[in-house]
Amino acid sequence: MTLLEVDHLSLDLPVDREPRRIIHDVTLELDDGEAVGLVGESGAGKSMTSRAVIRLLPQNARIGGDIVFDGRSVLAMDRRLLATYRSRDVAMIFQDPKSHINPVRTVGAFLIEALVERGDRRADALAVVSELLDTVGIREIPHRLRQYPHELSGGMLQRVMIAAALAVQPRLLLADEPTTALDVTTQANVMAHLDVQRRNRGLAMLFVTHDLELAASVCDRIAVMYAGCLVEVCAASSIHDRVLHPYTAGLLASRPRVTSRTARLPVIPGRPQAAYELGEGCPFLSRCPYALDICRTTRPELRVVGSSRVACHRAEELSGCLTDGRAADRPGVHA
Amino acid sequence: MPETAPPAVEVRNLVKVFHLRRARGARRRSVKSLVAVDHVSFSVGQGRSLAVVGESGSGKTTLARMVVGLERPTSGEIAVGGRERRSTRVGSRERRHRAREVQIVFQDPYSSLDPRQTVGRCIEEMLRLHFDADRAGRLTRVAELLDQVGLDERHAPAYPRALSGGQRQRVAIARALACEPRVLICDEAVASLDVSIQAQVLNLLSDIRDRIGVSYLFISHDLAVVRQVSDEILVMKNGRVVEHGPTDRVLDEPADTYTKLLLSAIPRPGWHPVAESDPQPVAT
Repeated sequence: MTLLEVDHLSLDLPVDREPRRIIHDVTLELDDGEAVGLVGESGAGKSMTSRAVIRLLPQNARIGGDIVFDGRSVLAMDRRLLATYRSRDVAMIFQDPKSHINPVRTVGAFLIEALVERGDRRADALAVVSELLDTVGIREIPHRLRQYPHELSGGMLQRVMIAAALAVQPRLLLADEPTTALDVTTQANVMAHLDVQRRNRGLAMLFVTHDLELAASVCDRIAVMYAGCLVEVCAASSIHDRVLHPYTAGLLASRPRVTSRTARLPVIPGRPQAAYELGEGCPFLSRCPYALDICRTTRPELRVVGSSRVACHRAEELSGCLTDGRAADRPGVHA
Repeated sequence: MPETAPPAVEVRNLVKVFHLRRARGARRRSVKSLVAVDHVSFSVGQGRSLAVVGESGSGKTTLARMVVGLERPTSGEIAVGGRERRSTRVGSRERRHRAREVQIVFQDPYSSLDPRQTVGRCIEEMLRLHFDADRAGRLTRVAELLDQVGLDERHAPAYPRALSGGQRQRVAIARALACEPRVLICDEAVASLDVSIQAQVLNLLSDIRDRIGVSYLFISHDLAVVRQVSDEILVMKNGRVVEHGPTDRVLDEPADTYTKLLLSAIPRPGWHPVAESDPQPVAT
C-alpha cells in the first residue's frame, strides 16, 4: 500500500527576488514499511525534497505539485492537521544532533517532550523512552536521562535522536544524512540500530544521503537525484548490476574502493550543475559522454525500463554498456 | 635517486601533550593533560606517499600540524630533507625557510582561502614572499600553477565566493605548490568534496606527484581514498600507532584488531551494518 506519494513536486526559492528552481518535477512513492534511499551530490535537492514532505521549508518557498500522505494532501493541511501530522505520522532525524537537541535541557526531558505533549503521563513516557534507549544499545539509562547533550558523544546523541523519533510511533521516518558527521565505526553502529528498529516496527523510511553504498545497504530502493531532478529509481540490490543512468554509473565508478587500487579513477567531467542552471534538455547533458541531439532539446521523463525507472533517452541502447567499474572486483568475473 | 638521499620527512618519537585546565568549579587549579600524540615515528621518502589514518581524536591532525610547524612538539624530533628542526621558538627567516619545505592543504576550502583576495593575488603573494621574480615573472608562474591544478588564467581575477568547492580546493593546492615544497600535507583535503569532484582531485594529486616528485603526508579517515593515494599506511588510535606498513599489506591482511574494525565498517557492495551495544558498566 502506498504510504507517501510525492507527485510532480517542484520548488522555487527566491534569490534576490528572482524565483530560482530548486526541485524539478519529482515523482516518487513510498510503500508502507519500505525504505527508499534518496542519493545525490550537494545541491541535488535531496534534503529539500525530504523537508517538503513535512513542509519544513523556508516561508517564501513556492511549491508545485502535491505531497500525499496516506490519502491526505500534506500541502492542503491546515495548521492543526499539520501539527498532528508532524507529531504523530512522521519523525525526522537530522544530520547534526547537537544543533537539534536543546542544549540546556536534559536528554530525558528532550526524549519525553513529544509524549507528554500529546497527553502521556511523565512516568509512562519515561518508561517508554528508557526501553527505546535500551533497544538502540545505550546502557546506564537512568544516568543518561539526567545528563545534558554535551556530555554524550556524537554517536550516542544520534542514537538518542533515533529513540526520540521512534517514541511517537510514527509511520514514516525521514533521515537526513544521519551519520555523515560520525566516524565510520560509529556510523556502522548507528545505522545498524536504525535499520533493526525500522524493520522490527515496519516503518517506512526516506533516507537522504550522499553515500550510495550506505543507502544500498539499508534501503529497498534507491532514488538518484541530480540538479533537482530524479534521474533513476531502482532496486537497491540491482544498483551494481543493472545501472541505467550514465550519472549513476559515473558516481559508482568514480568512488575509490577499499579493496583495490586503479591507476586512474574514472571521473565525471565538469562540476555538478545547480537546478536553476538547467536549460531545455537533459540535466546531465553537459557532463554526459553519451549525449545526442535529442538530449539537447528535450528533457527526458522518468520512465519504466526493465525493473527500474530512469530519465534517459538512450536507456535501452545503453543498458548493459554502463558499468559501475567494479566488474573486475567480483569473484568469477573476468574482464 | 641515490641510496644516500635523506627522507623527505623523518619523525622520531614525536609526543604532544595538551594541558587542559578545569575552567570552573575546581577548588585548586587542577590540570588534566591529554596525550594527543604518543611516541610516533615514521619517515617518508622523496616522492613517496604516507597516509595517516584514524578516527576523530586519534591525533592524526595534531601530528600533521606539528610537521608543518603549527604546533610545537612536547618532545621528539622532526627532520625535513635531512635537516633537523629545532622545536624552540624560531624567527621569521627560519619560518620562511620551513614554508619552502612543507606545505599543507586543509580540509575546508571555504575557510582556508581569504574571501577578500582574488585567486591570482593569493598565489602571487606566496611567490612574492619566497622568490625574487618580478611581477611579470610571477604572473607567468601563477598561470603555470593554475594550469597544473586544472584551472586556467580566467580564474585568476575571481574571488573564492565565485568558485565551487572543488575549484577552491584546487586553488588551495596551487597555493601550497607555489613555493615548491618537498612535502605536501593533505589534511582531509578531499573529505568535504562531492564524489565526482573528489575523484578529479585525487587524480590531480597523483599527476602532481608524477610530475614534480613531491612527497605526500595524507591525513584521512577514509580507507578507500587512502588505498588510491598512498604507498604506506600508519594507523593511529588514541595517539598511538597501532599498525604501520605498505598500503596493500595493511588493507589486504590487517594485523591489528582496530585496523580490522575500521575496514569492516566501510559500506561496500554486499555489506550490512552490525549493531553493538555500549559496554556494560564494570561493577565495582
